[in-house]
Amino acid sequence: MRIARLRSPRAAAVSLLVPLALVTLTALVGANGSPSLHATVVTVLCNLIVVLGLQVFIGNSGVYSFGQLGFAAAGAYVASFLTMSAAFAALQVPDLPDAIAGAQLDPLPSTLIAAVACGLLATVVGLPLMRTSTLAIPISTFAFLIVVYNVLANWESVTGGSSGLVSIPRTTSIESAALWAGAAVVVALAFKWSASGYRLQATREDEVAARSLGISVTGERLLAFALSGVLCGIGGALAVHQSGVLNPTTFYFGATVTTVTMLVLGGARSVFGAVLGTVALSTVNEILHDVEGGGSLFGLVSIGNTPGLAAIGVGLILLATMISMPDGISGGREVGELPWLRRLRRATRTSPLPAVSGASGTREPASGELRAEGISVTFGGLRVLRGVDLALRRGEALGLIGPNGAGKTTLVNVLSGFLVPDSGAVSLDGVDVSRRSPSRLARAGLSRTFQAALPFPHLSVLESVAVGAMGVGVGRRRAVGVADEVLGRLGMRELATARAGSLPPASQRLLGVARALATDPRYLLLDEPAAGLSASEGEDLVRILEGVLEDFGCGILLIEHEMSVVMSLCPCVQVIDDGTTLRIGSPDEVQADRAVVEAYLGSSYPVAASA
Amino acid sequence: MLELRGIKVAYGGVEVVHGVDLELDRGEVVGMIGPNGAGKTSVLRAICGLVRPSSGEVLFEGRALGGMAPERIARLGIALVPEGRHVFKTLTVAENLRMGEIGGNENGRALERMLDRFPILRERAGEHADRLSGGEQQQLAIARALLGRPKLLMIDEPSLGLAPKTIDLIYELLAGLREEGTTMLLVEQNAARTIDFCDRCLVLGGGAVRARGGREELREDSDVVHAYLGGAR
Repeated sequence: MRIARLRSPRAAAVSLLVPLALVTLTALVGANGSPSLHATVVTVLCNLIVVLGLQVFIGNSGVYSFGQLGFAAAGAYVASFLTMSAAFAALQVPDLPDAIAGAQLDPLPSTLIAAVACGLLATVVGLPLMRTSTLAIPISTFAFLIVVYNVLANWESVTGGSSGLVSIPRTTSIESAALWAGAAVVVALAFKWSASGYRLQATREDEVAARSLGISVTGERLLAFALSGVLCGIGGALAVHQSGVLNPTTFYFGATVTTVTMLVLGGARSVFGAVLGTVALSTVNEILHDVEGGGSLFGLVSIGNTPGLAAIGVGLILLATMISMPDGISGGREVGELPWLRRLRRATRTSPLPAVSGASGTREPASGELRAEGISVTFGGLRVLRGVDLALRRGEALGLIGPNGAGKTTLVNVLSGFLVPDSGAVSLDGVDVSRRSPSRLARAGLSRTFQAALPFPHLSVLESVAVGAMGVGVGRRRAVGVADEVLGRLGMRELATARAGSLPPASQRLLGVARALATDPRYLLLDEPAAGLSASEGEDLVRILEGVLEDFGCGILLIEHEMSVVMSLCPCVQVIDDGTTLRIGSPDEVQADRAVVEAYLGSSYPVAASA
Repeated sequence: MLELRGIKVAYGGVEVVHGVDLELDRGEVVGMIGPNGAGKTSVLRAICGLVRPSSGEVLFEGRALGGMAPERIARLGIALVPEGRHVFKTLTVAENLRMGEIGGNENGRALERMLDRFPILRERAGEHADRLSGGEQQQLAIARALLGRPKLLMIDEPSLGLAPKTIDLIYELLAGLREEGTTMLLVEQNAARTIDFCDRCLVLGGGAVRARGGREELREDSDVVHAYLGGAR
């Protein structure tokens, strides 16, 4: 049997092993270098854990957070309190509860406790923040960072205030930092490739389309935000046990800019990019710092004392990257997805086997109905829908046609929960669903496509469709099987590894249909799926949809201007004009109706139809 | 006026157009048809500089366009109405049209003439473009392109997503432009209509030209046309 995969085991292994090798190499360089290089490398590895924390949230959600260093600070303080000797604690932070001040834990338990504490903190902070819009999150997380800093800098009796803490045990070795960094790489990749990670990436690629597949944008962001908080907390805890001193400014603006720069430089969408960006920027920073104090560049060019050179250099590098490589050095790809590797694989790929039919099973005879009654919608004084009724039974196809601007898409927006009507009600199998969100409706079995296709451009075709199944709660492995089955049915299996954004628009629209089918819908609302298809492709689409009606037993509402497609698929056609239903009837009745010809088909229609 | 010599286009190392030649004289109306993914839009993008051909040459009025920025090519007089219209949704119809006047000389009169030609746009001049129906947006996109006084007008899928009656209307407008001698390059899915409307057509399939010619020639070549376009529509 053919087993569909999101990536070959080799690609997965390479994607994991190359960043791990880079971490190991970095650690080896540090372990064999001078004491100062040794210390620098430990810091780089701690930074890397924080950058991976940023990648988990920013990379997968596509939303920038400038508050993650607040969690690194929290982790650093929590861990320091737990490891500090009781005597030093009494001296520096007299108001700290004795249970904490006297704990004097080992490095491992203190790091773990810091991680858990930061995860909880991120959840609590994220609960309100993740509800804010994509544009508001960067600002609100930044505000969080400012709050954290000011608490730490001013609550002297508990945090040591702006002068910070000293005499923290210096227990972070290069080995332990490398192990933690390696673990963070594994966690970040595992999250990215999990069902939850894919759902979050779908919201990054297109929020509206993701919601139509049943994905809760707030929920997925919150989960990643919490995991990101855990990683940042660990990074902070390890860093402070390397330096032995802690100051509120350690994890403030400067560190935020540095770590975000590392992520962007490497390519935020990719875990490999996070590693590459951290190592590359740290290396450059180190070289420039050496030069800054006066010295020579690679022993060739001698330079005098140039304070600020490192900061200027880092700024210039960020600028140059954003201009020449907006997706970062890695191009936002994991190693196993790099183009030259894909090409190698394509050469050795075997031809796809025939479709596995009926994997999802034929449903029992369908019953039930999606019903809309008296739907009215007004946009700024313009009445777009005036009391439209519609009934779609399972197992049947209903055509919805009408002039451009008649209100067809608005009606679909109402049915799928994207728009709340001024009046009227929508029911799904007898249950009133008038005010349900798109994602809840998708999980209840109502799926839709969009005129504008709304692809997930950076996901592969197989991933895009699998996300459809994951959106309604199917596990990752089964979701891939469902996606493969659906792609086979639509004749798109050869495209499985292509990036969705690279497909021509008409294929992207068909991909939208595949994505919607993967949610295993009871009702499928299709908004102009045949737009841009040639005549023979249109005929193929009709055959595919006939098969869907039969096997999935779902009801299909088809908005389409391509009359050959509507008339051959739908036994019943509803014509909407100017916000009201003009006619409902069989294709023959509708095509012969004078009012329909007048309003929609046009006088040349019969000629065109017979041509 | 326009000449393509062996244009190849590749995206991320994958070649999608494998050497397309085309000559277009002043006043001619030429159509490009073919299945989805055949490379039609890529050829248009290569002409207006939105993608750099991996090899081959684009000549416009004898001048090589290789490496020119899209806005410079537009100023030379090549206008593209992209698939999906791309009107400026939060601007009014009148504001959209102002954006079309690249040169901006005698702007009042040119705009008036355009509103005479597209009466529906005059009627809705003060409304936001996203309030227009698909057919009205298509008219706005064409009008906006015409205001730049292009020497060559390229339209990608003018009938996409439009009601049958509205398609008739758009083609009436295009026929009016043809009568006035506007040079046009159309990309369409609706093969029968395009072959009928245009002086000549190119049939693209899999990134190469599979057939070319006028109505009669393509009818004689019906095997090729059928193979790449399916049942005549």
